[in-house]
Amino acid sequence: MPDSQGKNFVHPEKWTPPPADWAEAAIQGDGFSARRVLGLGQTLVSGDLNAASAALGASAPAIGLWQVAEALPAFVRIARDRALFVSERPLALEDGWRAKGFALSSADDAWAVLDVKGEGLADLMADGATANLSQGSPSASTLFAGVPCLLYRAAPDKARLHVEAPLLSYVWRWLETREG
Amino acid sequence: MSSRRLGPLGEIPFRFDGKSYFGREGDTLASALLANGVSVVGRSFKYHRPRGVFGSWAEEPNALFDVTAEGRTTPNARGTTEFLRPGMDFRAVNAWPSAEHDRKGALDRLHRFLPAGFYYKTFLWPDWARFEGRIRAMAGLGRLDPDHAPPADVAHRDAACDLLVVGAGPAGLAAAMAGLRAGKRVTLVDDRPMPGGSLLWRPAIVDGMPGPQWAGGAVAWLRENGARVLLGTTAFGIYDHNLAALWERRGKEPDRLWRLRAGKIVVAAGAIDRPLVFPDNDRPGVMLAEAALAFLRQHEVLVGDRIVVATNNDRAFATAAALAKAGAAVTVADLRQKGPPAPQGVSLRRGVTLEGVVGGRRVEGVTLGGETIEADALLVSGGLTPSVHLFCQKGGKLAWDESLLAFLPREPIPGMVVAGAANGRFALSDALAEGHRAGFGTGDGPRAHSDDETYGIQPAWPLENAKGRQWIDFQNDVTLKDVALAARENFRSVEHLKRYTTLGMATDQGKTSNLNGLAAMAALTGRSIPETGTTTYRPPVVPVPFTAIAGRRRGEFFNPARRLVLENEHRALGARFREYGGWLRPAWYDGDDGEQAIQREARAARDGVAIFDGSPLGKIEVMGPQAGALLDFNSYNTISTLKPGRIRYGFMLTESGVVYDDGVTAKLGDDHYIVSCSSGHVPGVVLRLEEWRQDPFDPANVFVHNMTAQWATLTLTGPQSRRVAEKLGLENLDLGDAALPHMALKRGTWRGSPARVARVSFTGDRSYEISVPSARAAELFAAMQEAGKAFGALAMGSEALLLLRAEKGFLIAGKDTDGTTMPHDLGQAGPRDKRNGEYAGRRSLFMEEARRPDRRQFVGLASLDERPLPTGAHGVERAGGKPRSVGYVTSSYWSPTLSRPVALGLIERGFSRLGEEIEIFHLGQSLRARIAPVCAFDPEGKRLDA
Repeated sequence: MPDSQGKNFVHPEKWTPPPADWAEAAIQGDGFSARRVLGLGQTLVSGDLNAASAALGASAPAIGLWQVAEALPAFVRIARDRALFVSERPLALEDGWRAKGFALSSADDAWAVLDVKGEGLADLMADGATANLSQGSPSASTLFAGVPCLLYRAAPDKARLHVEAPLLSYVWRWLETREG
Repeated sequence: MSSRRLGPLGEIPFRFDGKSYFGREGDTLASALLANGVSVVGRSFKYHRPRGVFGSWAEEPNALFDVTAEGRTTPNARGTTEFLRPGMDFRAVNAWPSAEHDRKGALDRLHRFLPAGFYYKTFLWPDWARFEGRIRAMAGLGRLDPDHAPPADVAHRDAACDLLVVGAGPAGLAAAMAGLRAGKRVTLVDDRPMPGGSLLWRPAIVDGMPGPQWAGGAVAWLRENGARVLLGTTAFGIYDHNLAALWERRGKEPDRLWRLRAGKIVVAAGAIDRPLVFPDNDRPGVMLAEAALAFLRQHEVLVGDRIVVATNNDRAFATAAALAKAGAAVTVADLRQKGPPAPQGVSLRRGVTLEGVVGGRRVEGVTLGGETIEADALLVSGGLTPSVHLFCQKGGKLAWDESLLAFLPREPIPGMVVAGAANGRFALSDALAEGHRAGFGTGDGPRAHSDDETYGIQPAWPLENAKGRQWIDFQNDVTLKDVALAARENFRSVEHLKRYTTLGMATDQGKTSNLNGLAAMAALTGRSIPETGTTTYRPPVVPVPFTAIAGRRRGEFFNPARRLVLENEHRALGARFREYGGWLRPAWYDGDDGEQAIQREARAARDGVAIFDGSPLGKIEVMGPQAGALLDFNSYNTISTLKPGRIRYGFMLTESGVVYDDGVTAKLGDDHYIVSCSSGHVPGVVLRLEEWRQDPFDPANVFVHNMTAQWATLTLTGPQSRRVAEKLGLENLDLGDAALPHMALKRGTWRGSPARVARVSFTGDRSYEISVPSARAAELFAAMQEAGKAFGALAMGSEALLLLRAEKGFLIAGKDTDGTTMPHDLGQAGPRDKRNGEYAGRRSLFMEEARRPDRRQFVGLASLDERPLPTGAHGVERAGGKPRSVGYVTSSYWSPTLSRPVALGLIERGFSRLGEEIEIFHLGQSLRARIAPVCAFDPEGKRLDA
């Protein structure tokens, strides 16, 4: 049969539609609540992070796994030479290479940001995060619910996840259906 | 066996093999059956011999059931570890209609013809396939219920601790308490729902308290002081970096699987009683002595009224005493000449030989030294086998201890220590002291008193010249004769013995059989037991349900699809979705009749304009002074020579020269490129760019950013596409053909946001790929639909796009190519022949294989039967009547543009056979096709600028 007739591959019921309105969407789960954080600025920076820090925000701290970012902006570390610069608002910066030795790309829409909190946060993190959060890491890059994300805290009792935007619906559904 | 409950039977109703019974709270299925006097609980795997309960916990080889409870059927549940719940209905596996009356029971009479490996030898002629179906139907144990899919509700939980203690018996509890006192973060796990281990059935006083009471108090203290205690939890595997896999059963709550990283692991998993090997030792009523004691103490079940206890060590004497005290007439058959005195009320025979049992479906007598005495149960204790599985999984080596007749951990390994009975410390006081030390304890640990501190074991191994059928592995029906056969046929390595006879390969993983099996092989080959060695220990220690392994990763959580930012907008237009390259994308719109919709959308694109969501296309930014050099190395085609603002199509090859992906690369500047690879290959292309970046290049001077998710890409394609694009209000962007010709990219803005417009076409028609930040995608999509109304614009799904590109002969890597396709097979030999410098895969393009004249080449296939060729159908040649594949159809569609089928394929020597007719064969049907150029529509490419 021709390619187009492979109707066995159509499973309209398999995937749960994403929320119609992310601004209003919220999860009240078993011991935790989650909501999407909209409007943050995100800029992916690679190369000489010191030079990038001086150029973008000299006082922005480097944030690793499960560390608390008490204020923004912050450099959320991904690797030795890579970080996501998170700011209160998107920055109107031109993508590309900088002569001081770093590259940057606007990533405001590349990651979806979720805040999660509640008395069951530790259990939720144990279910979702594979890394040893008590041990920490200079890099905030880890797996949550089996997919790549950046994980730190926006406050001592509030986890913040930066999820690759195309995987947001999956992570959201994973949180929605989680049972303690 | 006339097993019975001492006291009330219980009020929990259950059914076994269609009959109704009652049991008690806390009963296992096995104890409940024994309490009801059920002696035959299963049939053996191969010979269908009747079998009874043999062990009391995870070592049980016989009592396997398909259990239905609360509407859920679990196959192969072990009756000794599964707890009774009201209304349970379970059946013996491998038996029909019941274990007691099994229709295949007669197979045992054919045992002479069914030795180990008989099917390897017997069913060679005429061929194995003729017999395979029936043999496989007979093999196997429990049956899956095809109508029942258990919920995907098992959470996987990650955790860490300083000290993981496996086993909440005396040694484990002592270790956990010592660790907590030393300030460690402690996790204690035990596969039983109650703490105490052997203290639950072996009487002892610990720190002045009865054993079970002390164990309960210890767990309460541990929990109060912050330790994590997981009962009903099996540590079934140890992996790298002290990662322990734990399977937690939580009663009515879903199970949980833990991945626990521990600084140190104390294995205090205890030891398992060992069977004695003698004729007909598998009869119902023969049971491990330790198991009988456990049934008595934990479930008030007396396994017989006239019991013989056969042993080669001191520990069975306490068992005999307890059984006699419970009311049984007990005879101890001590295989040794010397041993402890007879317990009160117990008859003792020393230095006897155990020659067999009388009875078929249950023990009716025991033959000792030529004399048969009446008995309804024979309890055996051949010594203790330490549970060293986890230690060995971590790479620990074993040493043979001649005084204990057991393999023990030879030396500690980093991050793990073995304590208690698992380390050969069978005396309670020794186990407690060693556990205390293992848990960082100093000074004295818990103090104990028990009556069975001596062991005094003497050998009682299988004899090489033994008569009769003597079972080594109960669950897999491996006898001493099977081991002898393996030895005769030179399968003398224990690893070969295991695979030839299947000894130790059943769901009990040889817990009761392995040591006797290798002892038998040692005797048969004239070697010592340590010379014979052990097999490799691998996880899991006990069977773990697939539901626990899979966790929640099923359905939409299995390999989760990436989702478009415009998914809801597509749904509103009636999109039908499919997965393409890991993305959930519209296959077509507006209706269930996909074929009609696809044709309609394709016609709209050719006649006017269509809107396609191409957001998953790769947008990989490569930046830095060495960006051009990296891309040149990564690509078959030279990239760096592009002028800024221009785009080039090309391939990426694997090191073996095979086409990995195709795509286009845009040059924004000498230090900034955008690689637009195919959607499904984005993660792979990012990885290979990262790999090359960090090796031959200066990683400080070139970086790779995967910005695919940042940008949404909406494509206008068709002769009216430019007119629609011009109505969108793109700013600072000249859409004229002079400023923006085919294969060019311009940057500007759209309603204040950055925008990129690329003239790239996958349809062969004029096309504009317009990219904006994903947050603006919905707005742009709406604007395109509004602007396109006047031109009859339709949203187009992936299927129509795939059809249109097939008309043009544009390939899809991985669909129109396979694991052998090289670029010159696709008509792209230029870089191979002319390009200087190194690039990934280059050398492989000049190997002998790459130069073969009969390589399969990418061609069009024109159906001569007026209907589309089946995708996957083979082109065949017939030499002497035998068909031979010369390639296959890779893509096939009905073209609404051409009003005829179009197809693409990889065909041997295809380039030189244009115009030739070939046979296309599919599922017994033959069609005819003509080999044609790949491009079936607009070969001059005039429509790109139409």
